[in-house]
Amino acid sequence: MTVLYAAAAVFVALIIIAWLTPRAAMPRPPAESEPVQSPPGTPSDAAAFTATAEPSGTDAGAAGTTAPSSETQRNRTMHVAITVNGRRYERQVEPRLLLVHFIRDLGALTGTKVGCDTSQCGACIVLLDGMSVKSCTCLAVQADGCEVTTIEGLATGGELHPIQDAFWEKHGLQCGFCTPGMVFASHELLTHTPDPTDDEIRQGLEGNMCRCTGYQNIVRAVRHAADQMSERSRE
Amino acid sequence: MATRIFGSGIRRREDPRLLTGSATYTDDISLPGMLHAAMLRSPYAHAKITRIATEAAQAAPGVHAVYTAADIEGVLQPMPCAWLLPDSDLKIAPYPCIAKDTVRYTGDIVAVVVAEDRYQAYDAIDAIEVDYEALPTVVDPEEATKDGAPQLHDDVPGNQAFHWVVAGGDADAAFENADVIVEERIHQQRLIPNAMEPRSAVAQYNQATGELTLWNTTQNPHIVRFLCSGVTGVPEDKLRVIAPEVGGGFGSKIAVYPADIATVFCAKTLGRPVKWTETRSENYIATTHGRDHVQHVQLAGTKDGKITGLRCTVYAGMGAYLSTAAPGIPTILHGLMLSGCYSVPAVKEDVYGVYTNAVPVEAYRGAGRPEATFMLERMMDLFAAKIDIDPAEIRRRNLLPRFEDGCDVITGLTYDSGDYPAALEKALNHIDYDDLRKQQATARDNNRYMGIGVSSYVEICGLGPSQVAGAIGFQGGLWESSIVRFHPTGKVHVFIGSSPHGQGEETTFAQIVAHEIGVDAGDVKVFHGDTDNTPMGWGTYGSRTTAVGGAALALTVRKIKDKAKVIAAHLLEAAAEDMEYEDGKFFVKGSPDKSKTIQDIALMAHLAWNMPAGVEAGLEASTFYDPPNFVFPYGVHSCVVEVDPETGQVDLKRYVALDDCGPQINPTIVEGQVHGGVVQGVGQALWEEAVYDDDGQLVSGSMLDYALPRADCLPEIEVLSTVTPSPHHPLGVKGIGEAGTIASTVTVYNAVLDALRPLGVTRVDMPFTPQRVWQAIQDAKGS
Repeated sequence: MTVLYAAAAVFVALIIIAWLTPRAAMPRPPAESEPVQSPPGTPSDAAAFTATAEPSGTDAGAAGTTAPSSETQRNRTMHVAITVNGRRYERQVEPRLLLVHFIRDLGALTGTKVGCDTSQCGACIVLLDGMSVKSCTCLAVQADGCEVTTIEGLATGGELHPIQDAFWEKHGLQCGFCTPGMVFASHELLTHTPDPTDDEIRQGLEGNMCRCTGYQNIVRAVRHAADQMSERSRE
Repeated sequence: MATRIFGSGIRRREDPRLLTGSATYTDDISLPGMLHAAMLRSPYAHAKITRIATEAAQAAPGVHAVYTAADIEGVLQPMPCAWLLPDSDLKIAPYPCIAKDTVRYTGDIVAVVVAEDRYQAYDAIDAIEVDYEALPTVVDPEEATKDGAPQLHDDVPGNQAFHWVVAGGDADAAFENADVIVEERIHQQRLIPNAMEPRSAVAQYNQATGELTLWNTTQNPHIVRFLCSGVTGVPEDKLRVIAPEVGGGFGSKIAVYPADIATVFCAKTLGRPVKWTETRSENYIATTHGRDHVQHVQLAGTKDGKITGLRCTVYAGMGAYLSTAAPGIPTILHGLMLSGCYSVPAVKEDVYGVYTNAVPVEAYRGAGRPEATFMLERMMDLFAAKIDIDPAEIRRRNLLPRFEDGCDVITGLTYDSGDYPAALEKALNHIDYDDLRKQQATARDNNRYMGIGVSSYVEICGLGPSQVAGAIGFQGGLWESSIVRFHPTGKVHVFIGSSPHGQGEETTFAQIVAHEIGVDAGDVKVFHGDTDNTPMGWGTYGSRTTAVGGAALALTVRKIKDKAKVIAAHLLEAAAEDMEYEDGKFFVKGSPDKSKTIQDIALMAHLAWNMPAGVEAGLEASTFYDPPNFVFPYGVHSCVVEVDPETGQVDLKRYVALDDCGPQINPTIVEGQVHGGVVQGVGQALWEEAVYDDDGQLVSGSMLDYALPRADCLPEIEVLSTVTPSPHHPLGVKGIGEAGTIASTVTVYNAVLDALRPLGVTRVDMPFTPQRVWQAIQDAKGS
């Protein structure tokens, strides 16, 4: 019976989550073992209306948006200010808008990928105030006032970040779709464990899916990145 | 050249854009005025549609249109099946883009909504009311053929889509005279390909010109153009299909899909660009699956371990409709490979393609060949056990001897080249097989259950001669094409018909050009995936891009080299036949100090101030390469597992993959292909299964429920190779895309069953979940 109750509880929880979030992407909370932090803040109003991100009056960005909604819907949007790769974007958004859609709809920042709708694949990982977060499992309103780094913002001064370079050097990518998320999951791992064993790397990446590489060259890439980064810090 | 470019594991040219988020996949495309489509998919696996009410959806915020079957009637042709298997009583049931009266799998499209944004489109989907009258369902392909099984299509009795037979030698006589017969029922479970990029389509129609552009997640844009033109009526010259960056395919991006066609229909009807991108859960119920065989196999042999015959009956689940290439996969790509690497004097196989209430099946990495290799290699282990000889030894006794230029086998194929015994010994030596057997004996004495698997394989790749394609009913050619264009500064543009999507041919093809004519690989840019600026090609699947497209490229570069020689001779005032070429330089025999580089010649060919008589300006050539035969990569895989009998947990401890794909253009890329392939095969053995319940509901319907291999479940794969060039290929290469997947599933399967042998377990259906393994151990104890 306990099993049945547990199953029922999970079912109800899933129904609630499904109701709270759009069908286009139904995020589930990440498993406890996954190296992904909970996003800061809590959704104050996750009721589902339309998800249009509209530039607000003080908008500094020139990002594209979808067509205007009706007056009623506009009243149900919320104001957010999110800094992405050092540039501040102010928008009126629906409370249900996922952070990953907020980012991808800004205009040119499509490097962050959506590979699933259950928070499994990790393709959407970005840094939110320095922590890796699955941006499909975070609402844009939760990121209000935060700083986001996407894959487009990781390389500086035209030079690849050592993790990006290591993925290139060790053939840690094939189709490239999981790569932005893998790079950020590796970033998180190396922040906390600068000299990981291969086992620690594999554990650290178990929240990210790759179907091309069999993970082996990703593990090599992270190992190589760790070596390069520690060499740099010694210099 | 300081280093040889052919055979060098240089970094991939694709990677900088992929690593920095600047690559453009289909869902990254955003066009002015673009609308978003969403599909309402049937929640029932089999039902009559009795009513659809779309008024509320049409009135929902942001909605531009809601389409149902009535709207496409007479406008869209049914979805095409393009592999018309001959002599098989093939029955192609109509596959409408939007289901009309009946739905036949959970995922069948019932209506399409187009709205301002994707959230509004999904909201409106929920506002559509549909009344269904549920019908009985069947998902098991063998059950579906039985009397009284639910019928999916009116004109397809027994749900039999086709019955295909392959036979060679006298199999029945072999069984009558056999010393030993072993039999097995094997379940090749359904798998979900799980390319990391979900499928997507963006369509844009120009009403003034009648031109339509479709960006699509596809492995074969030219085939999409060819078939989409037929379905939608947009003339081929006005239809441009672009495969931008494509995030993996594994066979699931070969088919032309209803949702893609629906997106084209919406864009054309509304006169606005329309995007559709599936969610992952939608991918699971609507993008093609793989495998799904029930196999009854018999092997006949002598008591000293020689195979004398193979007989099998296979029920291959096709799903509710025949996908684009589906009929050829469990037949041509499966049955013709029945005898594998062995000398088998007689075979007979009956394959029944069966309609079931499930997602249509297509190619999935390996496509028919893993299923064939599994049958054969499993039977070899059962045969060995029956006559009590070692699994490696029984393979030694049956392997075809080394051959360099053709070996006819019983199914009618001629393998190109191979040294199967050498591959076996090299792999066994590497893993230290004899010592492992000793370790196993010690472990068993200590009640530890260690298992060793070893499998040989050979696969049919590089599809293939077009004449054969025609004979086997494939509705296309199977040649590949290339155009090579030198620019005045000696930089090179290459245009290919193939459409790589992660395999790295922008790099390996640049290496081919560099190898053939001595330019820097960095000076070569490879264009692919756009039907408006690349020559026709038949797609990237079946490990054919390097094997066929690579040959097309090498031959084109050789044409340019011939022309360059003539120009160089003219410039050096020598006869063309006196010219020699080395490392990018053309010189008169015996005078290497006086030479012209290919860059010099490219410039002179463009200036054309001083061309030899009768030679055209420019330096450009093209080739349509139709291979004379298939290529046959092969190898031996071996692994070690340990099973915990208390929990049923399988621990994969070592994995060795030896693959022979001929000469390797870029060994780093080859190794990456092997890693990925092996892990997909291991996934089938240990974790993956598309589970349908009796009502046709996909229970493993999300990434939460479908167990994909993760980084922490795998050991380091040890990759080895031998090199046996294909005698008929301009570069000798064979193909590596699927190799890893072909043998890995059965290698792990055999290892687990080897571990469980002392416990009396002889078969377990895949995947080896702890529960299944534990249950099999309990059942064996009970008996």
